[in-house]
Amino acid sequence: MGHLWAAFSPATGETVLLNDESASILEVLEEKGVADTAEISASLVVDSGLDVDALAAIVESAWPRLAEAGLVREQPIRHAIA
Amino acid sequence: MTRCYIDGSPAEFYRTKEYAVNEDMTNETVNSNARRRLVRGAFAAPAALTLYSGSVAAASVSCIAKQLTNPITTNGDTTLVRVPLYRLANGANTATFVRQADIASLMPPGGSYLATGQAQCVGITGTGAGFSVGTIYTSPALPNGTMPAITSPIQYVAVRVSATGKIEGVISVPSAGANTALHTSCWTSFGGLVPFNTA
Repeated sequence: MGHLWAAFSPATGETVLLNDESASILEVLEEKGVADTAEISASLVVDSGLDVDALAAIVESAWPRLAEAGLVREQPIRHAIA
Repeated sequence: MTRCYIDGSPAEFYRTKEYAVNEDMTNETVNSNARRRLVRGAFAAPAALTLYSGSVAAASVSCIAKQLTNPITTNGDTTLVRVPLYRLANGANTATFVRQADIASLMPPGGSYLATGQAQCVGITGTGAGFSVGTIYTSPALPNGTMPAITSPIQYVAVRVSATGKIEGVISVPSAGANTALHTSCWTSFGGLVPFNTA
């Protein structure tokens, strides 16, 4: 318990325990408001020490679980008609 | 590329901390920087583990925990549904019934049990006012013409519905402790004050 993070989701009414990796993704997202995988990965490159591509794969795989936990929501892609 | 945002408000998360029993935790809200805690070169898979309420879980599994050692089962039982009880009383002698009208709407197509207007006696006290448990009656009534009236307050019994839609039998809750498929602790699963099919 000592090295985890706790987050309550009003969407699900559940409390979720996060590891540092999940918490850091949310932290970046909280700062940016809305961000995609590339932006999150770029923000974490220095702290994680991984290259951005490896990090992007990990971050991309994290979205389904974070969304399921009610912590993040995917922004629908809006197509502009020229 | 997935594009996301924080869901819900407030979007806050806190680092958990272990406290000693006698430690003052009133002014300790920890909200440090997760990125600083990352181990360089060892970015693990992000994990999110849902915490479940112990009390809710305990309530949910109470039926399992208290289930009977040797419940009565029949092949093909798939569903338990509740229906209201009707009572006829002749002094201290009473008989309780389930009515076809309450059960018919619960049966899937092809199911069969009671014919239109019929009722089955599922319990008696004393002599049963002339009725016997298990017997199916068409328009049961006392000699003076009194028809069964719904119990007040309403009591229910559970009926077992087989996979084919056939009613296998009736389980009386007052005798649930006596080796039936239904324990009284699970009766709230059928809860509510109104019978299913009063509409």
